[in-house]
Amino acid sequence: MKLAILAINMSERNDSVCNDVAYHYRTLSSRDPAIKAVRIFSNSYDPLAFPDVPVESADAFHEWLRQDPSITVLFHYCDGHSHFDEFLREECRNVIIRWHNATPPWFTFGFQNQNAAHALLGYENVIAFINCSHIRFWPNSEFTRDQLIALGAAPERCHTVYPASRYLELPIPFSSSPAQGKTDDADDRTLDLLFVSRVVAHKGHINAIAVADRVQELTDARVRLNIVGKGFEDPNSFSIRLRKVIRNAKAEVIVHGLVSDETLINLYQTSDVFICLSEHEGFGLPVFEAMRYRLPVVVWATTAFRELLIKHPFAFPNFDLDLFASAVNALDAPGVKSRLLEIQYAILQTYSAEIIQSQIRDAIAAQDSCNWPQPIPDDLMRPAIRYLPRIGCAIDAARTSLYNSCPQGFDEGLVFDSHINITSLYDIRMFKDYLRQEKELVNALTVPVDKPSITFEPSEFSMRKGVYSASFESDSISLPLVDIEATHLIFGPYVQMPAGRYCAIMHARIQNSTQQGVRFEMDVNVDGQQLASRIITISSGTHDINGKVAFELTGEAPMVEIRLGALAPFRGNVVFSGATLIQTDARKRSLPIRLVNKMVRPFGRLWLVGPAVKRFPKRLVKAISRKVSKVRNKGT
Amino acid sequence: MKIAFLVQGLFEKSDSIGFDCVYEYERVRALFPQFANQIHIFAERFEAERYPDVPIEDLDAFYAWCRANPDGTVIYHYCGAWEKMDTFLVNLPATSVVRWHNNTSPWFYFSKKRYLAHTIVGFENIIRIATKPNLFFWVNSVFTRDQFVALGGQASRSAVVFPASRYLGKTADVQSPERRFAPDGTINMLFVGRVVPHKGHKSIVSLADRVRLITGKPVIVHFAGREDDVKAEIEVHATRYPDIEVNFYGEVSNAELDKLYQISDVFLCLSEHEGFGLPVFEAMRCGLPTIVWSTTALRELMVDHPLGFQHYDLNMFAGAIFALQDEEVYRCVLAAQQRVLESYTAQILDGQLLDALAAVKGDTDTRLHTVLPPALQSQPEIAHAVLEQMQKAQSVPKKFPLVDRDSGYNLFSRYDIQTFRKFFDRSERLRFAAFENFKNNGQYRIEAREFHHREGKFVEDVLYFKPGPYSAGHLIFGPYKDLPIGNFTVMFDVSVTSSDLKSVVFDVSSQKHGDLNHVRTPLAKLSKGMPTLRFRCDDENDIFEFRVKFESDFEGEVTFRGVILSQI
Repeated sequence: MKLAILAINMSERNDSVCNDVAYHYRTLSSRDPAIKAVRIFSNSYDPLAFPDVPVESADAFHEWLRQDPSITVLFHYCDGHSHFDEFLREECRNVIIRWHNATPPWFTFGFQNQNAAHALLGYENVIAFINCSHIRFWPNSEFTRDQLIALGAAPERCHTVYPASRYLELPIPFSSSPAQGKTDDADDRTLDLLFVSRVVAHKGHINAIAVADRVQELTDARVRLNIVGKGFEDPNSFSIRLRKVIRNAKAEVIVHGLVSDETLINLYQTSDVFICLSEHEGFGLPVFEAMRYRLPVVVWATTAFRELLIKHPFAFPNFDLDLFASAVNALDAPGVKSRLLEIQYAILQTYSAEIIQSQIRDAIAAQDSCNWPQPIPDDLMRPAIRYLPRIGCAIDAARTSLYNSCPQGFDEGLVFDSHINITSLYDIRMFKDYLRQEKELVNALTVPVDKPSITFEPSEFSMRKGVYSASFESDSISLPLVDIEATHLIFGPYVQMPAGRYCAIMHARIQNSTQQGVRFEMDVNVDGQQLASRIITISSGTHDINGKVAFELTGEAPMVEIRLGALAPFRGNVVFSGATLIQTDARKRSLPIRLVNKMVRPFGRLWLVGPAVKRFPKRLVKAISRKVSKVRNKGT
Repeated sequence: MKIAFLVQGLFEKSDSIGFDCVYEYERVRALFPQFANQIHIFAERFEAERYPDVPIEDLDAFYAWCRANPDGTVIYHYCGAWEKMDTFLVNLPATSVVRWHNNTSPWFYFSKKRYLAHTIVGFENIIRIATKPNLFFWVNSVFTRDQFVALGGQASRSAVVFPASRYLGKTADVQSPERRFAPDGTINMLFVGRVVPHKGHKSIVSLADRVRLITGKPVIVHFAGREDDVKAEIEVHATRYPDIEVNFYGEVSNAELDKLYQISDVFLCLSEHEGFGLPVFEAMRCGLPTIVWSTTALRELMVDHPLGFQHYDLNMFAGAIFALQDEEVYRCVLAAQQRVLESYTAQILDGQLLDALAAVKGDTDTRLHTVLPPALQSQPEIAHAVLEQMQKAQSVPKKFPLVDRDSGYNLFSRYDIQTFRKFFDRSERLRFAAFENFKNNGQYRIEAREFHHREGKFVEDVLYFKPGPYSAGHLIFGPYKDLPIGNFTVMFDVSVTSSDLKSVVFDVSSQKHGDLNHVRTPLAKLSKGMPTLRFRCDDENDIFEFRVKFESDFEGEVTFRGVILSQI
């Protein structure tokens, strides 16, 4: 077998996906006799990041595949769409998708809708891979494998391979007393809880604070929660909410942000307990890292943890703050911590380099359809049928024969539920919103309108250094003054609009701390061509700008860009609250009644705005043009 | 021991909740004969003839019983939001039991707004009462307990009690040599359950075609169960498989059901959501081989069933039916099913009832210990330390605000894809609605497909009544929509051709106010313009319908393209 390992990015040394890619290359290139040749490709790589891994370009990848289409491609998938997707689905014969799971949209839905929409795109792409029966998968845990099966992948197409980790090669310390711990002069009346994770909505930061608060209520010690991970300063609604929760916390909460390896190791060694109440984990490496540093962990056993930590006494499947807090406090009882560390040591043996290598070997062997035995579907391996071989064999033969004529186990025209799905509080909120939204839509489509307008949120624009969104500003007491370059400071939202005359208003507050006035340009562009602009001069001090720029849009669904740029460098900041477009040539027209509401969404999927649209604007515009022509032809 | 069993209704023909309530009432009396006279049953609405041997009392008697027995236990069989009763029970001094059979998840009703709103109300009510300290929950399966916990309830305040079944005592001679699979060469597939979106009817039809493909035998599908308008969608789906015969029987009598069990070769349950899944057990008790998608409650209940498959795979299900043609496989499956049935017997139910009654009154420690994860239970010292801390925590009570969170092991499904896609597309439509509104002069069309009808047929976007005789009455009605507050006009986009009809009546009515406006339009005038009615919506929770009525029997042809709504 010849193997092409394909990665989107191989330029970050500390990135977990890059490490996983490098690990696969090292393992497969050196040890596996089934592999004749292994090469590794990426369209973005830094040769210094992994000096022992000879990464080649994407062009070289295509060239190799052209020479030999039978090559197996191991593609490390990273959410969203990539330039390789179509090629892998339609041109390649043997494809493995390495998937680390993806965060479902319900965590960000409602307050970070762009993230939610992006998450949905990712899942739609995964389904497109699943729908190609020649593609196999390497999920990073049994939970991720379950996720693929839930979306329609036959179980025998999915082979679990745990993720590689920088800590895998480290020895696991084992001794009856903690090797290191708090220094003698540390305040022994302080209980240090540690949580390591990116600051994103689903990682359970707010849950962790709730546990710390509850522990504080139940103990005399001072409780301190240390949060490590990047993203706390990001101006999004989740970090704003998190800051508010931290302000109101009863326990002391220290946000360390992104820290060096040395600082992190020190925190692992000096904390009393690691807590993880994440709501969604494809694997959950930080918990394993904490256990490797002999830190007791208390975990809400959701998603991947449910299986990986099944033997851990403090991995609780049911969310119960009292139980989490009681587990933390129970560590003080004689013998509990040492017994727990023994159990954690045993659990760590289930995630080792040897196990991953064996998983990779099995997965590679399953790739070869000539190999025997072929994987047996999970449902025929259940104890209830495994010991009734006549039934199992008869079903397996019939099923295999059916797969030749019906290559999918589902009917394309039918939607089916995942095999584990409990109605959550998110579901209730979402469906309530859906019902409310329908009423709002009826109102918006029936109430008389004279001047149609739309306001775009700051989140739909790109903003340079020194520009803050208004929601972020309201959370901060005072914004820093920074040196701002003479360049475009705000640009977006890249949205298709109907033709007509408009005026655009940008809502911004500019603080100019220099002595002289600064000139700004606000302009409107379509397809890189400037339609209108306006120069505004801002004197020293703080000023609100609400200047209008009039312009006319022609053609089919032109994509609009509105910008605000400084024409000279200055010191200060800009608080941006969004931009409004008002149609100014609006006149009531008489429509043939048969056409009413037949022109629904004439501009296609308009939610593809802001950063998402920039990924494939040309394709999108083409699709929109086709849609618009279709609607128009229908209309006439 | 003073117990009051309470249920809202005891009058329907096939009412599993009512049956369960009566069963528990009778069993508890039988288990505690010395206290039989202290155990009562109450209902808000009941028909004594349907339960001739059960002394059902009314609500006045219930309230009187509660006043007279402040230490008594109410076991309330919940079947949807009944706020008055929830409030009453929450305020009772003693602990009450809420018997809950789960609710259908909202995503199945995404395109059925009325049901969607109803199921959301049901869940919100459970969320509201799940954390009340003097309510204890009897759930019908471990799956329902997980659902209870996902909504904010504590596992330690719940107990699993399986539901009662009419077939619990039935036995079938499964080893009889006359029992054979498809003896006449035709495969008869049966499913018994309400004809609602999530019960897997469409999947069964798709599966039937794969069975036909692999066996080469004719396949007939039999569906028994109460029907609603989803049936039409299933029928449309079935037209994709012209070689498959699909029969709907509606709600059937026990005798008719027995007959269906007799003529069928295999029972299929591809339901996507079951709080327990009684029909599967009932089919097994009647000696039918069953093939089950073991999802939701059935995942745990079918763990010993060789044909209880956890993953949705039509090829696997079809392979299983194919395998049943082998006599040895057939016998082996029937024998295995007998073992599965041993997990759901009258004795087991009695045991669960006794445990659940003890748990309501029992000590907290025992309850807490039973819900600790197995890995913790197996470490007695650690478990003891945790329980000590839990006791301390319980003495420092705190009302935790219920923060939205996931249910713990929630896989993203194809329903989620569909739901989020629709939601985002509509969000975007809403953002640009002012422009769409302007283009359409503020006129919004409610498509014909959203309406209900009598004897019509959808042809693309049009509801069409072919030329023929039609009886008097409302031919078109719906869409049972709530509206924003405002003054509206509605135009009916309809054409009628008839030689014996003079006029048609159009009306607007609301659930709260009845008839709001109507107009009788002569047929001649109908061809010139759309009948238009004005009305006002002054309550966001009111539900509206627009109807087309014929005052006499007629011969004719009707084409309906929906209504056009605008605000004044």
